[in-house]
Amino acid sequence: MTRLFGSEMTRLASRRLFRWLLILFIGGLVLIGVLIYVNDDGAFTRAEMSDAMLGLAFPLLMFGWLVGASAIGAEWGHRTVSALLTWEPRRSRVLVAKAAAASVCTVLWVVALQIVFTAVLLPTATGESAFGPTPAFSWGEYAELGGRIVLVAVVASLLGFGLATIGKNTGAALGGGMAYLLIVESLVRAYKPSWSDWLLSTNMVRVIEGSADATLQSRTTTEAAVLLGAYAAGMFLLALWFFRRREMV
Amino acid sequence: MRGLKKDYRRLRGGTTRALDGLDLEVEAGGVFGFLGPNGSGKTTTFRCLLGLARPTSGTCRILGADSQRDLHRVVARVGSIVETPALFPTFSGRRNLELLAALHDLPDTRVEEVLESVGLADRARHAVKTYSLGMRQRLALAGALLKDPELLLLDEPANGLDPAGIREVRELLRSLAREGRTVVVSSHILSEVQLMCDRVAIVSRGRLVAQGDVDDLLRRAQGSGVLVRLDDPARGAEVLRAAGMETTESDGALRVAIPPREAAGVARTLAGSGLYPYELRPDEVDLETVFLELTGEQAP
Repeated sequence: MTRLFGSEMTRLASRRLFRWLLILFIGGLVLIGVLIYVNDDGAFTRAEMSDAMLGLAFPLLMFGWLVGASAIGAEWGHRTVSALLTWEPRRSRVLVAKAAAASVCTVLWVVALQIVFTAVLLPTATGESAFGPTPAFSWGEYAELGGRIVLVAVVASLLGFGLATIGKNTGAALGGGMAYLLIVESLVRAYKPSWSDWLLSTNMVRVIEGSADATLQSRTTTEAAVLLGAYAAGMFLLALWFFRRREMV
Repeated sequence: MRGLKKDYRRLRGGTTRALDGLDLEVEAGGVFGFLGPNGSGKTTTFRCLLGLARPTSGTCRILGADSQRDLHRVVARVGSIVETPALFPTFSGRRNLELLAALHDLPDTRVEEVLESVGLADRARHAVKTYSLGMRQRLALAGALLKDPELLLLDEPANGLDPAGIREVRELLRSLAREGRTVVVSSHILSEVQLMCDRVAIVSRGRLVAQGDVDDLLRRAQGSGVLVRLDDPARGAEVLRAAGMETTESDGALRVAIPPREAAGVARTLAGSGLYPYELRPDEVDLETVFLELTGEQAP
């Protein structure tokens, strides 16, 4: 199992798609940092770094989703899953190793991107508020926010992974995710608003916001995180069920 | 394999039977040819053996292990290629093999050995997407050899190879068999199978129609005729028919339906009429003829 996991990590780290995505992402973050620095009038405070990090959350979740989906989707595309199963026929182990590798890569890369983002903001975040006392900033709370974003990115990664396993390609996961967000969530919010507390995006926002004055009031951050974990686990188990029964053609 | 059946469900309902009670046993050692027309169930058999497809009924064992439940116990001793090579196109040939080698903790030196043995050492650092079909096939073969397996299951290993490549693969597989390994190879290049294999099984419509030593199969199929060439085949045919021998004429030669051991009678009859054959030999058949007869396929 360790060897399988190690091999999957090496494979993911060698993927050109992820390397390019990381380079583009880092380039974009540096550009944002430069633009903020150039346009700063001395009012950009450290507390505003947290707001900026909140703004980065959605792109990071999308990145996590793509990493998870492509981790297995590309394998279906190249039919290397069949080849791999002739080396390790225990399908549960194969899928667990792949999901674990996708999750670990998501954590490492999202943390790396957050560090880069923080580094490019730091030179500018020295200002003071022009409208009153400068809001307090705590590195601990900032790290907690980063941690919560990482947690939700891993959930997104596992959901993408599960959908790509069931749909047998990356596109199925990306399309399925978009369809869910645009159709299912919109319909629920429009016709069954009482169910919206159970929606993925509502709980993701709840976990990322983390504070008591968050949008979703009926659930604590921990409860929302547990619910997201249950969704991810449910999706993974469903994917595993399909994967174990699937004919490798 | 005992009574192996495999049905595939069709999208529009109904099923397609790929294997219909296939019974097959392959003894250890040597090169075993697995022949059959397209759609006869060869690849499905390989898939069932490797746990990639689930048989509808019947049993399937590989190196003594049930291929559906216990394959993991023997998989380290089995190398395989199923259909076209499945490789990561943007990774180099070496990287593709290194990823597989890592699964069984094989040393990098083993990767170099197999790359050398299939003649890909010079191109190993190039991306697989720049490889020709033949090179991809060689790389897949290298992957199958990586575990130093005692059993090789190779589905059309000569696909895409040029004549020199086919010959190299044949010699490689023969040498592996000489080392005591078992090589099971499916192929549609029957002349190649005839040169390479010790034993063959022929399947048609998911059933076994013949199995045995290549030489035995050929011997069984021939022995029913003698081929005669002479300057005046039309007159020769008349003479032989008049002597009560069933004779057909084709491509300037006569085929006489008598056992080869009675060929002397043909020579005597013709000589009695002043006709002297310049060629007289048993009407040999090749594996292709046997295959076409047994599977009911038409020659191209």
